[in-house]
Amino acid sequence: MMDHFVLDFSLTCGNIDFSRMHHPNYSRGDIINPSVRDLVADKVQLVRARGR
Amino acid sequence: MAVDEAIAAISGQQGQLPTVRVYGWRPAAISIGYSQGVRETVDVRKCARLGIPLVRRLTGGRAVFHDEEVTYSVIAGKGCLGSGSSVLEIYKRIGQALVLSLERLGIRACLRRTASRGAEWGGARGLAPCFSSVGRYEVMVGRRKVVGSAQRWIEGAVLQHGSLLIGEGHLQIARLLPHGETDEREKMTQELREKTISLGALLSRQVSYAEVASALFFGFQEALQVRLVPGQLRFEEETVARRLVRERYGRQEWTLRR
Repeated sequence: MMDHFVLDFSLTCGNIDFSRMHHPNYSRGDIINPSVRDLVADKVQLVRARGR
Repeated sequence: MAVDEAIAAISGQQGQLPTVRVYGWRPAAISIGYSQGVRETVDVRKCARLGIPLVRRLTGGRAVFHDEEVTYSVIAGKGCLGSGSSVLEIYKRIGQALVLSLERLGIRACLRRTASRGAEWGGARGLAPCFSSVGRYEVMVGRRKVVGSAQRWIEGAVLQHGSLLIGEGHLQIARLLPHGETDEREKMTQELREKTISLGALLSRQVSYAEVASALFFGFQEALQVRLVPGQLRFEEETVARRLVRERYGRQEWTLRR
């Protein structure tokens, strides 16, 4: 199995920066949950199975 | 959260081989279980003052403070995580992958089938955070939990989330209890210390995100008997994820709905 293990850790994929998105339901003054729009998944790595 | 749900919706159809993601959280944040009452779980205003985001997971379980840890998600079509297809069997299969991952890091862990969630925790009005509750197949080192996991089935797909503790960041949830008295917070911290242990503590050294990620991919590949290769989000998955953020995960109405 290890022969097929070809991960490249410099690869970041599937990391959408949601902080850049427009949220019509939020404004800068919103203090209830202010930073959810700035929350991102960090150092994301995604792998998919390609056969057994 | 949105990306994991989007992958489950688009690619996690019946018979689909697994997709595995690992990620950290920036900034540190709290995830709330799908059915949890947020105001009974954490002090929402205090989180806001401290700049700690709250998100509601698609998976169940209890609150987790995501800091100094690595989160994994596994999404697969039903029937692709072993011959069985029950919740318990999939917990076991993924648990075996986690045990192999830990072994790769030099940690001897075991799978324990245990009582229902929260059964062992009596403090803080039953508000036990995810890591202090023990249920289904849990990955344990001795009598302490090193991984917290939760599972959700969505039509033809199964999604399981979990976090591997690198350090003690998860303990911070105790200071965010709602209306918590100091004694109660200290009791929760103590119980979390007794029932959980981090990879750093087990190995007596700093553990990096990259080595845990590498070990996870190794463990999943071996236990699930699949060949895993780097991938990226498909256009349809990204489109659905963005919609889910707009309609659900990015909305406080969704996060605070209970």
